[in-house]
Amino acid sequence: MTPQAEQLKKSKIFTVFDVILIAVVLILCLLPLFFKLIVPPEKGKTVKITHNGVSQTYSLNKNATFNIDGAVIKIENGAVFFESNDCPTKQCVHTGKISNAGDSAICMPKGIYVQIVGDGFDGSSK
Amino acid sequence: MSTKKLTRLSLFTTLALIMSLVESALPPLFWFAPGAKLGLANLLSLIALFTDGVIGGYIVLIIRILLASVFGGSFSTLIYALPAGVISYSMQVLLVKLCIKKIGVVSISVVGGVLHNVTQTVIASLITGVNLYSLIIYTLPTGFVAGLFVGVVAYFTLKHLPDKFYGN
Repeated sequence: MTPQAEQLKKSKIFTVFDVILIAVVLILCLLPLFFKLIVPPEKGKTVKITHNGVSQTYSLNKNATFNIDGAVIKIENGAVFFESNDCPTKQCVHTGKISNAGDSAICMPKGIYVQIVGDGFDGSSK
Repeated sequence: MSTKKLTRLSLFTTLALIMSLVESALPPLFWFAPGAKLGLANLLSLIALFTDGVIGGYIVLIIRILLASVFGGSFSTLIYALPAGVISYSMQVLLVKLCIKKIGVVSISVVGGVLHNVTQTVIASLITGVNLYSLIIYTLPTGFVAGLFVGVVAYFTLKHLPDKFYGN
């Protein structure tokens, strides 16, 4: 039997350090959610649409409609969304309208990435 | 390698493979990362760490990931599972080696679970070239819960395995 197995056979399921470590990790895991709720979202100014590795940036203030490889993407009233798509899961359409910096809508099967660009640490592109 | 050890590791690898394939059938949690998984199969690598040491765990991990990508997944399964599994498992090895006397397997597994999902998110971000770190809001707590579940199961499994199951 390995030393760690012997140790485990002797010990209880939770020690004090266990609880501390789990609590610390839990807090770290909930931090991003906390920030998302507390920090007022920054409205995006432009949207970057990437397809087949090629990106183009458009202003969110100008309404527009794009047809990319069968997917219909619309910019309307400061938000962008997939209006329709002929992909199997339609996860992109279900994402709905996005308008805050950092938000994204993605069509994985077709490799179409739509992301809102802002100035904040969360919204800037990589 | 003794027959007993060989049988034990083979059993763990098979179980891990089954868990991995069942995980693939769940509704895709990581829709932005095809092939990314919950990481429940890491349960068996963790158990192997206790029954057969560091190397035993790596054997179960690597062979399971290779087989899973051949049997059930695609190449993308490999891209996500391999780094995530290795990093998560290595961290768990480190924690076990350093402080197994002070902390239990549950918190070690929790750290492993979170790290597993963080790695998958990072890989997804690198592959797509899009900043996906905002999705960490969903992947972090999920990793935490998965790690917690795996840790508790691992504890009770190891606690109740008969002594003659161990050893060569």
